[in-house]
Amino acid sequence: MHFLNPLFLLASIGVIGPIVLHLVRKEESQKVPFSSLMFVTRMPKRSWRRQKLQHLLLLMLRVAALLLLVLAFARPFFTSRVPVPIQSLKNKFVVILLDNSFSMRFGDRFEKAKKQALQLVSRLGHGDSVQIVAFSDTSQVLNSPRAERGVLESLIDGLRPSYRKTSYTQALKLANQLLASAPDELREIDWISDFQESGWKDTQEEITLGEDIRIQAYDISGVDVGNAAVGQIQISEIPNQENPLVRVLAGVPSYGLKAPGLATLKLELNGKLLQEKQLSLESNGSKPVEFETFSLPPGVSAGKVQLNFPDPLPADNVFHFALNSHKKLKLLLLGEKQANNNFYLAKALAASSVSPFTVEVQDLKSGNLADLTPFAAILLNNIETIPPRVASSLYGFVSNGGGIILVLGNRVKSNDFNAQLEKILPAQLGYKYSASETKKEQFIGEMPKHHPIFDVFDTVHHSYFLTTPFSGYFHSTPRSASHVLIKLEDGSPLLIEGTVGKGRTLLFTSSLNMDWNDLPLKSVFLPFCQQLVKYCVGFEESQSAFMVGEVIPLSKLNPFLDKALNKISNSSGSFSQSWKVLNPSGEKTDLNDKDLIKSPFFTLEEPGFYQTTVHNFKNLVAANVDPAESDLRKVEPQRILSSIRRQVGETRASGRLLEATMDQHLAWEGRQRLWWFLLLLALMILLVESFVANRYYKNTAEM
Amino acid sequence: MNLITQDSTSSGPRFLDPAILSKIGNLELVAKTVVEGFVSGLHESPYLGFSVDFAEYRQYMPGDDIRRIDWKVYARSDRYYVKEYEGETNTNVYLLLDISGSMGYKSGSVSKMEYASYLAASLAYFAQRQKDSVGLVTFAESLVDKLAARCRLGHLNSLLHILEKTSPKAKTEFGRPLQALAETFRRRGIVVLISDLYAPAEEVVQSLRHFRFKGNDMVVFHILDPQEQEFQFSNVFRMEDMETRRQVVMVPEVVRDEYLRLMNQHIETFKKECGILGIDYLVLKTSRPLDYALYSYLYTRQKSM
Repeated sequence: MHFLNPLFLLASIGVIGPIVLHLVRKEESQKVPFSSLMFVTRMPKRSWRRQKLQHLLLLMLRVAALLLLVLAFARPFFTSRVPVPIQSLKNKFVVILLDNSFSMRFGDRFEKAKKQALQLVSRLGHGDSVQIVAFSDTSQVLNSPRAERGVLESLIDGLRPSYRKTSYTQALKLANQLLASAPDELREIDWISDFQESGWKDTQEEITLGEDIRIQAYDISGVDVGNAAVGQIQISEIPNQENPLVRVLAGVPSYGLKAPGLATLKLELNGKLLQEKQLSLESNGSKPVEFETFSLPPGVSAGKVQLNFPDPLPADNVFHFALNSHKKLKLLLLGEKQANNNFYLAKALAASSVSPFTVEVQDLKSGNLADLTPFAAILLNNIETIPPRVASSLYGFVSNGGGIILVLGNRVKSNDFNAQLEKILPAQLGYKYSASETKKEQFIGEMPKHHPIFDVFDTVHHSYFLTTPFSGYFHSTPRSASHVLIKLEDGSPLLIEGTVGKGRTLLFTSSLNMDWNDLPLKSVFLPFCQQLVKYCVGFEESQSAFMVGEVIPLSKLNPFLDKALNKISNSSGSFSQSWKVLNPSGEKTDLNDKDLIKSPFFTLEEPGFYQTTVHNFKNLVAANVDPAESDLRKVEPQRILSSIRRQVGETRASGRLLEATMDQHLAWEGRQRLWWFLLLLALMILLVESFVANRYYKNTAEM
Repeated sequence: MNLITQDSTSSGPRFLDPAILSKIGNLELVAKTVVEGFVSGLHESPYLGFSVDFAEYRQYMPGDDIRRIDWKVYARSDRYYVKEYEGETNTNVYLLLDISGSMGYKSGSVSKMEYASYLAASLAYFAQRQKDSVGLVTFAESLVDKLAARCRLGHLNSLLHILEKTSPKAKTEFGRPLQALAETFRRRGIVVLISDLYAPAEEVVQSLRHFRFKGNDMVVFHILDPQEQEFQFSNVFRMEDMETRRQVVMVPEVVRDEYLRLMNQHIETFKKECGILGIDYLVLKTSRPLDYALYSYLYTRQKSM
C-alpha cells in the first residue's frame, strides 16, 4: 500500500487522545470495595455493566474511527504490478540517453543499445515527445522534441559508437535541462548504457534532477568478459648531438580475463617493426614492458605500440605516438669572460646531453656581436657596458619574439644600464645594495608557487630559495607593464618580468655567480636557470600523444598553422586551400576558416594519427583512447540512481521513485479512491459510537 | 477510660459500643470489658442460674479443693461438704469464625472481622468464666486455624492470640470445611458460627445441619455492616468484590431496592431454615453493642443445660 499524502499519517498520533480520555474517565469513577457482589450479580444485567468492556468498546470505536479518518486523508492506494499505461494519463516527454562511449564497441553492445532505443521509441504515444541524446564524455542532442518516429528511427540507425570515454554526469545534467522545458508533462529519462564503472567512480560532482523525473535504466552490458589493452605509455626523448634517442616504456593492463594468456607487444616506427616482446597476461593486473632505446630519425615520426591478444575490443590494443626530432635551442650568453663569471650559468643551461639547450658564450669586449637570428634567447650576465649598437640589436631581437634575460652583478652600473637598455629593461634600476655596508643580508620575502617558472619546485625546493642570503642586489622600480615575480624581505624586486614587442624579458637584480649569493651551489640552481630560459622563450615540451576527446590548440596540430592563420586573417583570404587535415581514417576533415579564426582549436575524435600539411610542411598528432575505457567492469545502475539528488525536498531517488512517478501515484489513487470508502466507514463507526455512547450514558443516567 | 456509652437504638448506658472497643487494641481487655460490663448488668436481669447458681452439696472427696468446703455446714454438721454449682456442669463451646475476604469490609470504624473477633473473644472469655471448654475454628475456603476446646488456664490466651493474628483472606466456602469439622466433633456442645454468610443459603444450611444432627446446639451470628443492610451509596461507582476482585459499575439509586430485597430474602431464608433446624439465628450489625450477642448466647446455653 502507498500513500499520496503520507504526512497525514502523523495524525494517527491523535489516537492517544481517546486513550488518555478513557484512562482519565477511568480514574474519575471511584472504586469502592464491597463485601460481595453476590446479590448484585443476581440482578438483571442492565442494572450494572462491566466497566472494562463498556469502555473498551467505546475506545475501540473511537480509535478505529480516528485511524480510518487519518488513513482516508493520507489517500492510500495500491500499486499495480502492471503499470498504468502512461499514455492514458497525459503526454510525456522522454529523453533517451544512449551511451556511445568507446566501451560500447565491445561485442554487440551498441547494437543492443540501439535496439533498446528503437523499442522505447516504438512505445511512445501519439502526443509524446522524445529527444535522443548520444553521450560519452560529451553529449549530443540528435533531434528536436517533436521529430517523427521515422526520423527518430533513422537517427538511431545511423548512430555509431565513439572513441570517447564515458561520463554520466554531463548526460544526466543535459537530460534534466531538456526536461525542464516540459514541466507539465510526464517526464522520463530512459538511460541505455553498459554502466561502466569508470564513467562514474571518478565523478565527484553531484547530480540533481527534478523530483518528478522518472529514470529507467537499461543495462545492456550482458555477461562480464575480460579485456586487455595497451595502457599508459611513457616516452622519454633523450636529446643527442645527432639524432635524439627514444626510450619507450609501455604498461599492459588486463581486466577480468578468464585465464592468463600469452601476448605479443610490438613497437613500430614509421611502419617498420622495431622490437617485439613476449609477455604473459594475468587475469587482472598490469605488465610493464620496456623497449630498448632507439634513434629517432629527423623530422616527424609515427610510432605505434601494438598488443596482439584476442579480445573483443581490439581498438584499445594499440597506442599511437608521434615524435618530432627537435634540435636543441641555441642560447647566447653575453658576459665578461673572467673567472667564474659565466661558469655556473653556462654549466646550468647546458649541463648534460639531456639539456634542451646549447649555450654559446661571448664577451662583448672581445669583438662584434654575433648574428642573433639562430638564438632562441640571450642572457646578459653581469655586463658593465653595453654598446648602443648591441642594445639596438637586442631590442630588435626581443621585439621579434626572442627572449632576453638580464642578470646583474657587481660590475653593473645602474645609470649606464638604465640608459643603454631603456627599451628592454622591465624596471628602472636604482642604487646598489651591499651587505658589507649595512651588515645585513637580505632573504627572499615573496615568491610564487604556481608560476610556470616555479611549478617544478616543491616545498623543499622553495625552502632552498628562501634560505639563500643575498648580500648584494640593485634596488629597482618596476615599470607599469612589468610583473614582480620574486621580492626580497625589504620589498625590493629580485625577479621582474616584462614584455617587449612579441618577446619577453626577465630581470634578475642580483647575481647568478658567487658574487652576491651562493645560489649556484644549491641544487635548485640548475632547474631554476633552465626554467628561466624556458619561460622566457615560451618553450614547450613536445607531446607525443593525446587522448581522444582532447581539444588542442591549432599550434599543436601544426606549428605553422597558427602563423598561416594569422596571415590569412589579416588578408581576409581563404587558407583552407593551403593546408589540410587528414583524420586517422584517412578522410579530410572539413574546417571552416571563420570558425578556426574565432576558435583556434581542434578536437581529436579518433584514435590514430592526424596528419596536417601546411605549405608542404607535414606534422603528425597521435590520439589514443582513454585507458580508463578499457576497464569494462560495471557499476550497478541502482547505485548511481540512489546517489542522484532530487531538486524539491532534497530527497534521494529511491527504488519507489524509480518505479513510479508522482503522476502515476495520482492516477492510481484517483482510480481506486480508497479514501472515499475509508471516510464512509469512519462515519459509520462514528454513528455506532454515538449510539453506543448515548445508550451507555442514558443507562448511566437511569441508574 | 469510660467504655460505657449510649446507643441510640438501646436504652441504658451499659451497652458497649464496638467503635470504642476498637480503640482498646488488646483483645483480652476488650473481652473482659465486654463480659464484666455485661455480667454487672445481669444482677437486675431475669436471666439467673449460670455458674453462680447453687445446685447441691456433696461429700468431700480426697482431691477436692479444700477452699470449696462449706465451713458453715461443717460447723453445723461436723462433716465436710463441698458446694456444687450448676455452672460447673461443663459444656464445650466451639466458636466457628468466618475469616473470608468479605469479613474485612467496613463502612464505619469497625470492620466485620474486628466485630466478629470482639464477639468471639467475649464469648470465649464468657465461656471460660463459666468453666466451659472453649475452642476456636477459623475458616475461609478451608479450615485455617483450629484450637480444640479446653478449659484450663492459659487456653484463653491461645485463643485470643489466634483471633488477634487473624486477618480476612480468600473466599468463603461453608460446605467442605464445616462438614469436615462437624465429623471431628466427638462431644456435643454449643457451636457458635460467626459469619457474614456470603454464600448460597442452601450451602450454609446444609453445613449447619451436620452440626445439628450431631446433637450440638447452635447459634449463628450473621455479622453485617450497616451499609450491607442499608445500601446507602450515592453516585456512580465501581463496586469491587473483596473476595473475587471483580468490578462492576454501580448506580446505587437503581440497584438499592433490588439489593435490599435480595439481602432481606437472604436473611429470611436463614431465619426460616435455622428455625426449622432449631438454630438460634441472630443478625448483628457492626454498629450494635456486643451485649445483645451475649444475651443470645446465654439464652442458647440455658437451653442446652
